[in-house]
Amino acid sequence: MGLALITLVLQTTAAPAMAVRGVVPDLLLVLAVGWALVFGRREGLWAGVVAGALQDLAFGQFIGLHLATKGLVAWGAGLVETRVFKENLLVPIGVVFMAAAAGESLVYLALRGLGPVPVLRPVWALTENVLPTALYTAAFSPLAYRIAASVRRHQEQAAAD
Amino acid sequence: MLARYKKPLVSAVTVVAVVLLASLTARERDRLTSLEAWFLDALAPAQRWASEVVSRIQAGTRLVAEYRSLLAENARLRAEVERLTALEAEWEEVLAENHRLREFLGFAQRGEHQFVAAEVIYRNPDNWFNRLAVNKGTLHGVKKDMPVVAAGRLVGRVVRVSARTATVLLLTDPDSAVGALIQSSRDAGVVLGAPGRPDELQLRLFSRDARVTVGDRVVTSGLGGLFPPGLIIGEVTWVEREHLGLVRFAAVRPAVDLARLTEVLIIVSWQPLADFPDAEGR
Repeated sequence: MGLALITLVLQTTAAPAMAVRGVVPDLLLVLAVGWALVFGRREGLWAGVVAGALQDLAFGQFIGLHLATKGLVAWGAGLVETRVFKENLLVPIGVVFMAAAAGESLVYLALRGLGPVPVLRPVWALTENVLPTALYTAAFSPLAYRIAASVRRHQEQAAAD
Repeated sequence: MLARYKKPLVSAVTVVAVVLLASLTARERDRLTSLEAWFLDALAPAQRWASEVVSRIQAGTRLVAEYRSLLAENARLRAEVERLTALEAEWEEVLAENHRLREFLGFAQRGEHQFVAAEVIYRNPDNWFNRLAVNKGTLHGVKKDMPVVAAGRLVGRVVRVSARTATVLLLTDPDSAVGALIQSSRDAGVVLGAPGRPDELQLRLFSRDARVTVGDRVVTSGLGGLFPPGLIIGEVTWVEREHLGLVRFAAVRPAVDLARLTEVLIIVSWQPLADFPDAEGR
Protein backbone atom coordinates (compact mmCIF):
# COMPACT_ATOMS: atom_id res chain seq x y z
CA MET A 1 0.00 0.00 0.00
CA GLY A 2 2.79 2.40 0.99
CA LEU A 3 4.70 1.56 -2.17
CA ALA A 4 1.54 2.12 -4.24
CA LEU A 5 0.98 5.53 -2.60
CA ILE A 6 4.58 6.58 -3.30
CA THR A 7 4.17 5.40 -6.89
CA LEU A 8 0.92 7.38 -7.20
CA VAL A 9 2.72 10.52 -6.05
CA LEU A 10 5.48 9.85 -8.61
CA GLN A 11 2.90 9.05 -11.30
CA THR A 12 1.14 12.38 -10.84
CA THR A 13 4.24 14.56 -10.37
CA ALA A 14 7.41 13.03 -11.86
CA ALA A 15 5.86 10.99 -14.70
CA PRO A 16 4.21 14.01 -16.45
CA ALA A 17 7.60 15.77 -16.31
CA MET A 18 9.06 12.82 -18.23
CA ALA A 19 6.39 12.92 -20.96
CA VAL A 20 7.66 12.28 -24.47
CA ARG A 21 5.37 13.80 -27.11
CA GLY A 22 2.62 13.87 -24.52
CA VAL A 23 3.00 10.20 -23.59
CA VAL A 24 3.41 9.47 -19.89
CA PRO A 25 4.67 6.11 -18.56
CA ASP A 26 2.25 4.18 -16.35
CA LEU A 27 4.37 3.63 -13.24
CA LEU A 28 1.44 2.20 -11.26
CA LEU A 29 1.00 -0.54 -13.83
CA VAL A 30 4.74 -1.24 -13.80
CA LEU A 31 4.55 -1.69 -10.04
CA ALA A 32 1.50 -3.98 -10.20
CA VAL A 33 2.94 -6.16 -12.98
CA GLY A 34 6.41 -6.29 -11.37
CA TRP A 35 4.69 -7.38 -8.15
CA ALA A 36 2.71 -10.04 -10.01
CA LEU A 37 5.85 -11.43 -11.66
CA VAL A 38 7.59 -11.81 -8.33
CA PHE A 39 4.71 -12.82 -6.04
CA GLY A 40 2.28 -14.53 -8.43
CA ARG A 41 -1.20 -13.88 -9.81
CA ARG A 42 -3.12 -13.57 -6.52
CA GLU A 43 -0.76 -10.95 -5.06
CA GLY A 44 -0.58 -9.36 -8.51
CA LEU A 45 -4.35 -9.05 -8.66
CA TRP A 46 -4.40 -7.20 -5.33
CA ALA A 47 -1.46 -4.99 -6.29
CA GLY A 48 -3.30 -4.06 -9.51
CA VAL A 49 -6.58 -3.43 -7.69
CA VAL A 50 -4.91 -1.19 -5.06
CA ALA A 51 -2.87 0.74 -7.67
CA GLY A 52 -5.94 1.17 -9.90
CA ALA A 53 -8.17 2.21 -6.99
CA LEU A 54 -5.69 4.90 -5.92
CA GLN A 55 -5.50 6.16 -9.49
CA ASP A 56 -9.30 6.25 -9.74
CA LEU A 57 -9.60 8.13 -6.44
CA ALA A 58 -6.97 10.66 -7.45
CA PHE A 59 -9.00 11.92 -10.42
CA GLY A 60 -12.46 10.67 -9.63
CA GLN A 61 -13.97 10.04 -13.05
CA PHE A 62 -14.87 6.52 -14.20
CA ILE A 63 -14.14 5.19 -10.72
CA GLY A 64 -13.46 1.46 -10.98
CA LEU A 65 -12.06 1.63 -14.50
CA HIS A 66 -8.37 1.50 -13.56
CA LEU A 67 -9.10 -0.70 -10.57
CA ALA A 68 -10.56 -3.31 -12.94
CA THR A 69 -8.09 -2.98 -15.81
CA LYS A 70 -4.96 -2.91 -13.64
CA GLY A 71 -6.26 -5.76 -11.49
CA LEU A 72 -6.98 -7.83 -14.58
CA VAL A 73 -3.68 -7.25 -16.38
CA ALA A 74 -1.63 -7.76 -13.21
CA TRP A 75 -3.49 -11.01 -12.59
CA GLY A 76 -2.73 -12.03 -16.18
CA ALA A 77 0.94 -11.12 -15.73
CA GLY A 78 0.99 -13.20 -12.56
CA LEU A 79 0.15 -16.29 -14.63
CA VAL A 80 3.58 -15.92 -16.22
CA GLU A 81 5.25 -16.10 -12.80
CA THR A 82 5.22 -19.89 -12.69
CA ARG A 83 5.75 -20.47 -16.39
CA VAL A 84 8.80 -18.53 -17.48
CA PHE A 85 12.35 -18.01 -16.36
CA LYS A 86 11.92 -14.54 -14.94
CA GLU A 87 15.52 -13.86 -13.96
CA ASN A 88 16.04 -12.75 -17.56
CA LEU A 89 15.27 -9.01 -17.59
CA LEU A 90 13.72 -9.28 -21.03
CA VAL A 91 10.83 -11.18 -19.46
CA PRO A 92 9.55 -8.33 -17.25
CA ILE A 93 10.10 -5.89 -20.12
CA GLY A 94 8.06 -8.04 -22.52
CA VAL A 95 5.36 -8.79 -19.94
CA VAL A 96 4.99 -5.15 -18.89
CA PHE A 97 4.79 -4.11 -22.56
CA MET A 98 1.99 -6.60 -23.23
CA ALA A 99 0.23 -5.81 -19.95
CA ALA A 100 0.37 -2.05 -20.60
CA ALA A 101 -0.89 -2.51 -24.17
CA ALA A 102 -3.72 -4.73 -22.90
CA GLY A 103 -4.54 -2.32 -20.04
CA GLU A 104 -4.62 0.77 -22.27
CA SER A 105 -6.73 -1.10 -24.84
CA LEU A 106 -9.22 -2.08 -22.12
CA VAL A 107 -9.39 1.52 -20.90
CA TYR A 108 -9.98 2.67 -24.48
CA LEU A 109 -12.78 0.14 -25.01
CA ALA A 110 -14.36 1.07 -21.67
CA LEU A 111 -14.21 4.80 -22.51
CA ARG A 112 -15.89 4.11 -25.84
CA GLY A 113 -18.59 2.16 -24.06
CA LEU A 114 -19.14 4.40 -21.06
CA GLY A 115 -17.85 7.81 -21.90
CA PRO A 116 -19.34 11.12 -22.67
CA VAL A 117 -15.76 11.58 -23.91
CA PRO A 118 -15.31 11.73 -27.68
CA VAL A 119 -12.44 9.26 -27.80
CA LEU A 120 -9.99 8.57 -30.60
CA ARG A 121 -10.59 6.38 -33.61
CA PRO A 122 -9.22 2.84 -32.98
CA VAL A 123 -6.14 3.11 -35.25
CA TRP A 124 -5.24 6.47 -33.77
CA ALA A 125 -5.77 5.23 -30.23
CA LEU A 126 -3.45 2.33 -30.99
CA THR A 127 -0.67 4.26 -32.68
CA GLU A 128 -0.85 7.52 -30.70
CA ASN A 129 -1.63 6.22 -27.25
CA VAL A 130 -1.74 2.46 -26.59
CA LEU A 131 1.56 1.39 -28.23
CA PRO A 132 3.66 4.46 -27.26
CA THR A 133 2.43 4.19 -23.66
CA ALA A 134 3.18 0.45 -23.56
CA LEU A 135 6.66 0.98 -25.01
CA TYR A 136 7.54 3.80 -22.63
CA THR A 137 6.05 1.98 -19.64
CA ALA A 138 8.04 -1.18 -20.45
CA ALA A 139 11.28 0.82 -20.19
CA PHE A 140 10.66 1.19 -16.44
CA SER A 141 9.94 -2.49 -15.81
CA PRO A 142 13.48 -3.67 -14.80
CA LEU A 143 13.46 -1.12 -11.97
CA ALA A 144 10.03 -2.13 -10.65
CA TYR A 145 10.86 -5.81 -11.01
CA ARG A 146 14.04 -5.35 -8.98
CA ILE A 147 12.15 -3.44 -6.27
CA ALA A 148 9.53 -6.19 -6.01
CA ALA A 149 12.25 -8.89 -6.03
CA SER A 150 14.17 -7.15 -3.24
CA VAL A 151 10.95 -6.88 -1.16
CA ARG A 152 10.52 -10.63 -1.62
CA ARG A 153 14.13 -11.34 -0.62
CA HIS A 154 13.69 -9.28 2.55
CA GLN A 155 10.45 -11.12 3.35
CA GLU A 156 12.12 -14.49 2.82
CA GLN A 157 15.10 -13.48 4.94
CA ALA A 158 12.80 -12.25 7.69
CA ALA A 159 10.86 -15.53 7.56
CA ALA A 160 14.10 -17.57 7.70
CA ASP A 161 15.35 -15.58 10.72
CA MET B 1 -23.74 -26.88 -5.79
CA LEU B 2 -23.37 -23.28 -4.61
CA ALA B 3 -19.65 -23.76 -3.97
CA ARG B 4 -19.21 -24.84 -7.59
CA TYR B 5 -20.60 -21.56 -8.88
CA LYS B 6 -19.11 -19.38 -6.16
CA LYS B 7 -16.12 -18.13 -8.16
CA PRO B 8 -18.00 -17.29 -11.40
CA LEU B 9 -20.76 -15.66 -9.31
CA VAL B 10 -18.34 -13.49 -7.34
CA SER B 11 -16.55 -12.55 -10.60
CA ALA B 12 -19.83 -11.62 -12.32
CA VAL B 13 -21.04 -9.54 -9.35
CA THR B 14 -17.64 -7.76 -9.22
CA VAL B 15 -17.72 -6.98 -12.94
CA VAL B 16 -21.30 -5.63 -12.72
CA ALA B 17 -20.40 -3.52 -9.65
CA VAL B 18 -17.33 -2.05 -11.34
CA VAL B 19 -19.21 -1.25 -14.58
CA LEU B 20 -22.03 0.34 -12.56
CA LEU B 21 -19.61 2.42 -10.48
CA ALA B 22 -17.68 3.56 -13.57
CA SER B 23 -20.94 4.48 -15.35
CA LEU B 24 -22.22 6.45 -12.35
CA THR B 25 -19.00 8.43 -12.12
CA ALA B 26 -18.53 8.88 -15.89
CA ARG B 27 -20.01 12.36 -15.89
CA GLU B 28 -19.00 15.39 -13.87
CA ARG B 29 -20.34 15.31 -10.34
CA ASP B 30 -21.28 18.32 -8.23
CA ARG B 31 -19.85 16.89 -5.05
CA LEU B 32 -17.09 14.53 -4.00
CA THR B 33 -17.75 11.64 -1.66
CA SER B 34 -16.19 12.15 1.77
CA LEU B 35 -13.71 9.33 1.03
CA GLU B 36 -12.51 11.09 -2.12
CA ALA B 37 -12.30 14.48 -0.36
CA TRP B 38 -10.33 12.98 2.54
CA PHE B 39 -8.01 11.10 0.16
CA LEU B 40 -7.26 14.19 -1.95
CA ASP B 41 -6.63 16.43 1.08
CA ALA B 42 -4.46 13.81 2.78
CA LEU B 43 -2.36 13.29 -0.33
CA ALA B 44 -1.99 16.99 -1.18
CA PRO B 45 1.07 17.80 1.02
CA ALA B 46 3.07 14.89 -0.42
CA GLN B 47 2.03 15.80 -3.96
CA ARG B 48 2.99 19.43 -3.38
CA TRP B 49 6.39 18.50 -2.00
CA ALA B 50 7.08 16.05 -4.85
CA SER B 51 5.88 18.62 -7.37
CA GLU B 52 8.31 21.21 -5.99
CA VAL B 53 11.22 18.77 -6.17
CA VAL B 54 10.31 17.85 -9.78
CA SER B 55 9.98 21.54 -10.72
CA ARG B 56 13.43 22.33 -9.30
CA ILE B 57 15.03 19.43 -11.12
CA GLN B 58 13.28 20.46 -14.34
CA ALA B 59 14.34 24.08 -13.92
CA GLY B 60 17.95 23.04 -13.29
CA THR B 61 18.19 20.75 -16.30
CA ARG B 62 16.41 23.30 -18.50
CA LEU B 63 18.80 26.05 -17.42
CA VAL B 64 21.81 23.97 -18.43
CA ALA B 65 20.24 22.81 -21.69
CA GLU B 66 18.89 26.18 -22.73
CA TYR B 67 21.65 28.57 -21.65
CA ARG B 68 22.37 29.84 -25.16
CA SER B 69 18.76 30.22 -26.15
CA LEU B 70 18.12 32.03 -22.84
CA LEU B 71 20.73 34.62 -23.76
CA ALA B 72 19.02 35.18 -27.13
CA GLU B 73 15.61 35.23 -25.45
CA ASN B 74 16.86 37.79 -22.95
CA ALA B 75 17.92 40.14 -25.77
CA ARG B 76 14.61 39.61 -27.53
CA LEU B 77 12.65 40.29 -24.32
CA ARG B 78 14.58 43.52 -23.70
CA ALA B 79 13.56 44.73 -27.14
CA GLU B 80 9.99 43.60 -26.42
CA VAL B 81 9.95 45.55 -23.11
CA GLU B 82 10.99 48.72 -24.96
CA ARG B 83 8.28 48.21 -27.56
CA LEU B 84 5.64 47.50 -24.89
CA THR B 85 6.65 50.54 -22.85
CA ALA B 86 5.91 52.70 -25.87
CA LEU B 87 2.67 50.80 -26.41
CA GLU B 88 1.62 51.27 -22.78
CA ALA B 89 1.44 55.04 -23.15
CA GLU B 90 -0.73 54.59 -26.23
CA TRP B 91 -2.87 52.04 -24.38
CA GLU B 92 -3.48 54.42 -21.47
CA GLU B 93 -4.79 56.97 -23.95
CA VAL B 94 -7.13 54.39 -25.49
CA LEU B 95 -8.28 53.25 -22.03
CA ALA B 96 -9.13 56.80 -21.02
CA GLU B 97 -11.03 57.26 -24.27
CA ASN B 98 -12.81 53.94 -23.77
CA HIS B 99 -13.80 55.02 -20.24
CA ARG B 100 -15.19 58.32 -21.51
CA LEU B 101 -17.15 56.60 -24.28
CA ARG B 102 -18.56 53.97 -21.91
CA GLU B 103 -19.78 56.69 -19.56
CA PHE B 104 -21.22 58.50 -22.52
CA LEU B 105 -23.09 55.39 -23.64
CA GLY B 106 -24.17 54.50 -20.11
CA PHE B 107 -22.34 51.14 -20.02
CA ALA B 108 -21.44 49.65 -16.66
CA GLN B 109 -17.70 49.48 -16.06
CA ARG B 110 -16.47 45.95 -16.64
CA GLY B 111 -15.44 44.77 -13.17
CA GLU B 112 -11.93 43.57 -12.36
CA HIS B 113 -11.77 39.91 -11.54
CA GLN B 114 -10.77 38.61 -8.14
CA PHE B 115 -8.29 35.77 -8.17
CA VAL B 116 -6.96 33.07 -5.90
CA ALA B 117 -3.41 32.03 -6.78
CA ALA B 118 -2.76 28.30 -6.66
CA GLU B 119 0.16 25.96 -7.24
CA VAL B 120 -0.10 22.92 -9.47
CA ILE B 121 0.48 19.94 -7.21
CA TYR B 122 -0.15 17.04 -9.54
CA ARG B 123 -1.36 15.99 -12.96
CA ASN B 124 -3.60 13.43 -14.53
CA PRO B 125 -1.93 10.04 -14.20
CA ASP B 126 -2.90 8.67 -17.63
CA ASN B 127 -2.75 9.56 -21.30
CA TRP B 128 -6.50 9.78 -21.97
CA PHE B 129 -7.40 12.92 -20.04
CA ASN B 130 -5.71 16.29 -19.45
CA ARG B 131 -6.35 17.53 -15.94
CA LEU B 132 -4.34 18.86 -13.07
CA ALA B 133 -4.83 19.46 -9.38
CA VAL B 134 -4.01 22.64 -7.46
CA ASN B 135 -3.47 23.31 -3.76
CA LYS B 136 -6.54 25.51 -3.19
CA GLY B 137 -10.04 24.30 -2.43
CA THR B 138 -13.32 25.24 -0.75
CA LEU B 139 -11.42 26.64 2.26
CA HIS B 140 -10.01 29.30 -0.08
CA GLY B 141 -13.31 30.12 -1.76
CA VAL B 142 -12.86 27.87 -4.79
CA LYS B 143 -16.04 26.41 -6.28
CA LYS B 144 -16.86 24.05 -9.12
CA ASP B 145 -16.90 25.62 -12.61
CA MET B 146 -14.72 28.61 -11.71
CA PRO B 147 -12.47 29.61 -14.64
CA VAL B 148 -8.72 29.12 -14.30
CA VAL B 149 -6.15 31.33 -16.03
CA ALA B 150 -2.40 31.82 -16.20
CA ALA B 151 -0.88 35.16 -17.24
CA GLY B 152 -4.33 36.28 -18.38
CA ARG B 153 -4.74 33.28 -20.67
CA LEU B 154 -7.42 30.65 -20.21
CA VAL B 155 -6.25 27.33 -18.78
CA GLY B 156 -9.56 25.58 -18.05
CA ARG B 157 -12.15 25.34 -15.30
CA VAL B 158 -12.55 23.72 -11.90
CA VAL B 159 -14.43 20.43 -12.03
CA ARG B 160 -13.80 18.96 -8.58
CA VAL B 161 -13.12 20.60 -5.23
CA SER B 162 -12.13 19.25 -1.84
CA ALA B 163 -11.29 21.42 1.19
CA ARG B 164 -7.65 21.95 0.16
CA THR B 165 -7.46 20.87 -3.49
CA ALA B 166 -9.23 21.49 -6.77
CA THR B 167 -9.12 19.53 -10.02
CA VAL B 168 -8.87 21.63 -13.16
CA LEU B 169 -10.20 20.39 -16.49
CA LEU B 170 -7.65 21.73 -18.97
CA LEU B 171 -8.67 23.16 -22.35
CA THR B 172 -6.99 20.17 -23.99
CA ASP B 173 -9.07 17.57 -22.15
CA PRO B 174 -11.44 15.67 -24.47
CA ASP B 175 -14.29 16.68 -22.13
CA SER B 176 -13.58 20.41 -22.46
CA ALA B 177 -15.76 22.75 -24.58
CA VAL B 178 -15.43 26.55 -24.47
CA GLY B 179 -17.50 29.14 -26.33
CA ALA B 180 -15.05 31.12 -28.47
CA LEU B 181 -14.65 33.96 -30.97
CA ILE B 182 -12.11 34.81 -33.62
CA GLN B 183 -10.98 38.12 -32.11
CA SER B 184 -10.59 39.97 -35.41
CA SER B 185 -13.67 38.76 -37.33
CA ARG B 186 -15.94 38.08 -34.27
CA ASP B 187 -17.01 34.77 -35.85
CA ALA B 188 -18.24 32.47 -33.09
CA GLY B 189 -17.59 28.81 -32.43
CA VAL B 190 -16.60 26.33 -29.80
CA VAL B 191 -13.10 25.24 -28.81
CA LEU B 192 -12.83 21.56 -27.97
CA GLY B 193 -10.06 19.41 -26.54
CA ALA B 194 -8.61 17.25 -29.30
CA PRO B 195 -8.32 13.68 -28.00
CA GLY B 196 -4.75 12.41 -28.25
CA ARG B 197 -3.36 15.88 -28.99
CA PRO B 198 -2.14 17.32 -25.68
CA ASP B 199 -0.83 20.51 -27.31
CA GLU B 200 -3.66 21.30 -29.73
CA LEU B 201 -7.30 22.39 -29.62
CA GLN B 202 -10.03 21.99 -32.20
CA LEU B 203 -12.10 25.05 -33.15
CA ARG B 204 -15.54 24.43 -34.66
CA LEU B 205 -16.87 27.65 -36.14
CA PHE B 206 -20.63 27.87 -36.37
CA SER B 207 -20.65 29.41 -39.84
CA ARG B 208 -19.13 27.68 -42.88
CA ASP B 209 -18.29 31.16 -44.20
CA ALA B 210 -16.46 32.20 -41.03
CA ARG B 211 -13.45 34.44 -41.71
CA VAL B 212 -10.45 32.79 -40.12
CA THR B 213 -6.77 32.68 -41.06
CA VAL B 214 -3.64 31.18 -39.55
CA GLY B 215 -2.33 33.44 -36.77
CA ASP B 216 -5.78 34.74 -35.73
CA ARG B 217 -6.25 35.10 -31.99
CA VAL B 218 -9.08 33.09 -30.39
CA VAL B 219 -10.78 34.42 -27.24
CA THR B 220 -13.66 33.30 -25.03
CA SER B 221 -17.05 34.49 -26.27
CA GLY B 222 -18.85 34.32 -22.94
CA LEU B 223 -21.62 32.35 -24.63
CA GLY B 224 -22.84 29.53 -22.44
CA GLY B 225 -22.01 31.52 -19.32
CA LEU B 226 -19.20 29.30 -18.03
CA PHE B 227 -16.35 31.69 -18.86
CA PRO B 228 -16.02 35.49 -18.86
CA PRO B 229 -15.74 36.93 -22.38
CA GLY B 230 -12.41 38.12 -23.79
CA LEU B 231 -9.99 35.66 -22.18
CA ILE B 232 -7.28 34.61 -24.62
CA ILE B 233 -7.50 30.94 -25.58
CA GLY B 234 -4.83 30.65 -28.27
CA GLU B 235 -3.83 31.18 -31.87
CA VAL B 236 -5.09 29.52 -35.05
CA THR B 237 -2.41 27.24 -36.53
CA TRP B 238 -4.38 25.47 -39.27
CA VAL B 239 -7.61 26.14 -41.14
CA GLU B 240 -9.67 23.58 -43.01
CA ARG B 241 -9.50 24.43 -46.72
CA GLU B 242 -12.52 22.50 -47.94
CA HIS B 243 -15.58 23.34 -45.88
CA LEU B 244 -18.59 21.66 -47.37
CA GLY B 245 -20.37 21.00 -44.06
CA LEU B 246 -22.37 23.36 -41.89
CA VAL B 247 -19.43 24.17 -39.66
CA ARG B 248 -15.81 25.11 -40.34
CA PHE B 249 -12.86 23.54 -38.52
CA ALA B 250 -9.55 25.02 -37.43
CA ALA B 251 -6.71 23.98 -35.13
CA VAL B 252 -5.70 26.25 -32.25
CA ARG B 253 -2.47 26.23 -30.24
CA PRO B 254 -3.23 27.12 -26.60
CA ALA B 255 -1.74 30.45 -25.48
CA VAL B 256 -0.44 28.75 -22.32
CA ASP B 257 2.05 25.86 -22.30
CA LEU B 258 -0.27 23.60 -20.33
CA ALA B 259 2.37 20.89 -19.92
CA ARG B 260 4.66 23.23 -17.97
CA LEU B 261 2.20 25.08 -15.76
CA THR B 262 3.32 25.45 -12.16
CA GLU B 263 1.02 28.25 -10.94
CA VAL B 264 -2.46 29.33 -11.95
CA LEU B 265 -5.07 31.90 -10.95
CA ILE B 266 -8.63 30.87 -10.20
CA ILE B 267 -11.21 33.57 -10.96
CA VAL B 268 -13.26 33.41 -7.77
CA SER B 269 -15.37 36.48 -8.53
CA TRP B 270 -16.86 34.92 -11.66
CA GLN B 271 -20.22 33.31 -11.16
CA PRO B 272 -20.94 30.82 -13.95
CA LEU B 273 -24.41 31.22 -15.45
CA ALA B 274 -25.46 27.76 -14.23
CA ASP B 275 -25.08 29.04 -10.64
CA PHE B 276 -27.56 31.89 -11.04
CA PRO B 277 -31.04 31.20 -9.69
CA ASP B 278 -33.62 30.92 -12.43
CA ALA B 279 -36.57 33.25 -12.89
CA GLU B 280 -38.53 31.44 -10.19
CA GLY B 281 -35.69 31.87 -7.71
CA ARG B 282 -34.81 28.17 -7.48
